[in-house]
Amino acid sequence: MKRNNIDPNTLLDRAVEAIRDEAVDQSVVDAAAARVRESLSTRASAEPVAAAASVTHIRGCDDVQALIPSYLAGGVADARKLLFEDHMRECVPCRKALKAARTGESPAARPAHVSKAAPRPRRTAPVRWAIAAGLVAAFAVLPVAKYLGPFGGSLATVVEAADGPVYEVEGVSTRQLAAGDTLAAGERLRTARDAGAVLRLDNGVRVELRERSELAIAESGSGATIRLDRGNVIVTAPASAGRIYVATPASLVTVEGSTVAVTSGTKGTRVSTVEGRAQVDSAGVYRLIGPGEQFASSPSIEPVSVARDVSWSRDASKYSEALAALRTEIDATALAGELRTSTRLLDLAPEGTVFYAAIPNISAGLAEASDLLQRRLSENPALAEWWQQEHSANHRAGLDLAVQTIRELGAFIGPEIAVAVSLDRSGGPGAPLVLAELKDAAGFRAALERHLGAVGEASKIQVVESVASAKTGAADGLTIVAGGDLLAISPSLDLLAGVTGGAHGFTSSPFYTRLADEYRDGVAFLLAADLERIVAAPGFKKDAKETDALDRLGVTGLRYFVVKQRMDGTTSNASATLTFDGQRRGIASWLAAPGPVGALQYISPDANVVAAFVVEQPAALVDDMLGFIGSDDPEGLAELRRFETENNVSFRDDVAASLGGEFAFAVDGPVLPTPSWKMVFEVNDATRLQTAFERFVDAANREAAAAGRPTLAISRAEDGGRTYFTLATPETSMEVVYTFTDGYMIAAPSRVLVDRAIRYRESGYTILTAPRFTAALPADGQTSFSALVYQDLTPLLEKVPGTGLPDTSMLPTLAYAYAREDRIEFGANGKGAPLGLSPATLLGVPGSGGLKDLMKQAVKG
Amino acid sequence: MCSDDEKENEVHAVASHLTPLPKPPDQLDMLYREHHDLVFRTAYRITGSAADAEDVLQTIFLRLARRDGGPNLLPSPGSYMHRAAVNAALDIVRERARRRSVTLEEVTVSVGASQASLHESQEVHELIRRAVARLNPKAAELFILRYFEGYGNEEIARMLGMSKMVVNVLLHRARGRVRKDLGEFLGRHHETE
Repeated sequence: MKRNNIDPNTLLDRAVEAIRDEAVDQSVVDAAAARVRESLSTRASAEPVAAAASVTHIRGCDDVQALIPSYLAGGVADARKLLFEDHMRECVPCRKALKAARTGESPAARPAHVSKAAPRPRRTAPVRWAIAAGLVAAFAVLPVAKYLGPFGGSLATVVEAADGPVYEVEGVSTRQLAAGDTLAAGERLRTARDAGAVLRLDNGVRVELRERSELAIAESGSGATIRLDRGNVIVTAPASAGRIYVATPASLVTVEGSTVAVTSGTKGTRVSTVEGRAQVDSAGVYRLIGPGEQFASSPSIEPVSVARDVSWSRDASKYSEALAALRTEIDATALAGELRTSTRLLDLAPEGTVFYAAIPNISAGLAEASDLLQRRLSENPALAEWWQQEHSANHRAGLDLAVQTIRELGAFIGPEIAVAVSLDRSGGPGAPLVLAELKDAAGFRAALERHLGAVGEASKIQVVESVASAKTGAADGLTIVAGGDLLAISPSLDLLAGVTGGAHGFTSSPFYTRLADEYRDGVAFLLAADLERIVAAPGFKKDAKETDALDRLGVTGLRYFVVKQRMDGTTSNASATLTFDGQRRGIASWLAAPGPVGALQYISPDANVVAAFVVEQPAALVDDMLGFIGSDDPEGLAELRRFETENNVSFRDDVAASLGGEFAFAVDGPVLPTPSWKMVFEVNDATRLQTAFERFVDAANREAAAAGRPTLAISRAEDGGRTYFTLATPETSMEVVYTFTDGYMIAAPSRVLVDRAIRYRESGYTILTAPRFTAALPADGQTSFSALVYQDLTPLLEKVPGTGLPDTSMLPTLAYAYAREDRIEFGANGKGAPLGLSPATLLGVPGSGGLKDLMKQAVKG
Repeated sequence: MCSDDEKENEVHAVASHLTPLPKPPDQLDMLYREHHDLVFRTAYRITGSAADAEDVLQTIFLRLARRDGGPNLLPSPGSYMHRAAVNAALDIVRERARRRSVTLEEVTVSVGASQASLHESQEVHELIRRAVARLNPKAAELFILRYFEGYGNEEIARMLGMSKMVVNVLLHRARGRVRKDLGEFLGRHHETE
């Protein structure tokens, strides 16, 4: 009966354990190892014979020579035999190998295999083998593609376009090809320097060649094979065409229903997918690469952005160059306005103004830019085609109407439009007031009423010559006063009356003085807020507790926030300054004075988004945080303290104090399936930090387990002299891998990404040396930043509509900050106006929104 | 003859771009020295036989020697070797099950061990090995890595490039099947008492 109690589960566990623990005597292992070693060295040299049967494709001399034993034994099929004999007539090394095999000598022509098995050759032998191998390869490269021909059928390839000299190369003769010529299977095509060509296979596959490329196309059993000996191609294969292979000396790429760029050069092969997927077989390694991803056959081939890899394409330049030029031209036209160094609008702002914005009247420029756009569209068929595709007739009409309205009304208005917002009696934001100078009040009123009637908004808006004639009581209505040489718009009649009544209370305030200073320097776009008064206003404050919390955050020390934007040529410079009423404190003091950020060395030149900053003292930062929590939520702080005491850990002393002052974050690499983010921290004491982490995780797990919440696990793995830590939750597949190296901690969602980050630093190939990044740096007296945010969307395949190719005209943007004693200065570089709303964007030239969308939003809102 | 050396170096450099250089014998040698022990012992655990383990060792290194352009075992040669050993050994156990069709009944009859030492009996071990070999290849590899080789689920997921969820599920099922075979055996074992 006892036997019945044996539980299969227990037995399985114990038996498996027994199997695991069963020891083999070392002498048994050693004896077996010695026998196998002996047998390996004899069997490997006989290997060509063994391998002969397994040759399925003939791709080079090695394959041909592998067939020798079967050939001698009469075991090669007829078609293949022809191929074999033909090759023997042309290839000296293979003929020698055949002769050697016939006479029974060792197969010297298979250096790769012989050298593996032979006892260590004489000193010069490797070099000789290298020369032999080189010769074999050199002889093999040219003739082999030709032999693929006989297997092929009647695959016809048409030269669809040829820019510059394109040749069909056959032995010593060359024939120049023109558009419309056909290329037979196996014939070699070569593009000369500065030339390019587009081929169309009869199964719909499109092959674009760059200059100095050479290929032959053959039909193989399962699809077409494009044999690319050197150069660059972009292959677009519709799904209906089946599998298309691109064979390079280093790799075999399978393209099916996708667009793939393949480059073959001296160092190896690089494959980039533009659309769809491609499979790459390189030296026995298979990889599937997704859209926007890249593969290189050799580590010495650095990754470049897919956009750059296809930038030579005629399609890429067809639109993007033209668009980039147009964009620049339009922006330059529209924003060529003078800087304004004086204004009377500022003087008219109501007393108690806490927010003031001044924008230039770009209506004339915008109208001119619109004319320019129309002219360019009529000149360039490619652009016109895109414009028609991108904008429906309705949209185009809407845009025309908007431009027309702006042009007409804008013509009456002076060079500047100002918006002022003051605090109302309760301390909340009051009604806005829009001010502008007017050239012809009567003409403007007439034009405005006509337009309002056209859009059916006349009932809500009253247009008057003076405030006195305005009807009161229309509480939600907007009143437009256009009289004399002044235009004033506001929902509040009081404010309007103040303007025309000549109340200039604002001129005596410090905020006015600060703004007047800005005007002295010249203003294009200006936006300013009097934070001191906003924070101090009764509408902002709640109670003593909150005031204390705000004080700890340093918010009460804020004074002004000023944003300026001006155009220098085609580049816009935005700068913002946050000033304090003394030394920075609270949150505002966290940012350290500008200093180099070494953490950026772990970020690749193709990063999409990068944020980096230097902080003063991480421990002080924690103090401020805790202080803030303490005043806002004393129980929360007590709970945190209890956790720290019970588990004998200190967030401040163990974690924050071990950190240095640098921090960097980046999205660097493919976004799907898991975004390739990485974080880099400067670490002063890695051991202490890791110990603290482990204690925190332990403690948190204890509490989580007690509360029935999911727990975290830290595991450790050693590899290549480096220790990797993995932080994971068993319930989800989310994990974070991090390691410590050279005083930095690098964290990413996978070990591959961590390793890659380290390799970037070791190779010196980092964002800091990337031309796109350095071009975005501002020209000023600073050598470093306190903080920076860099964004380059081009690697993310920001597409030009209709081309399927990245828009290379999109420049990266860089925003940065310098922390000084009593202020923080922000800046941003990049093409276009603030928020990317350049005139070109407004007119619908690629970018974000577009005037029509803004109009739509405005009408809806 | 210094210039000759230079020339040779140049040719060497050019040739290395044209075709993968013959793999220096040392690399395979080094791999062998470093990993033969691991491969042999792993294969032994799975096949339960020193002769079979020797075959596995030979098969794996012969395959490596035949690879063109050198084996690409990165990122971790150790785990590559380990997996290769597991799969080659499983092939042998599968082959053995086909060749010598020892039925479960035969195994049952020969068990005379007491309950206490049942888990140490070679018959039970063989039974487990065959039960594992009957699993589909992926599940078998997972089972071996987890229970014979003592890897954690997470490590296995990483080694095999699978999600941890999938590993968990497959392992659970694999273990269930092996346990079922073992349970059937125990039932018969009891009847023969």
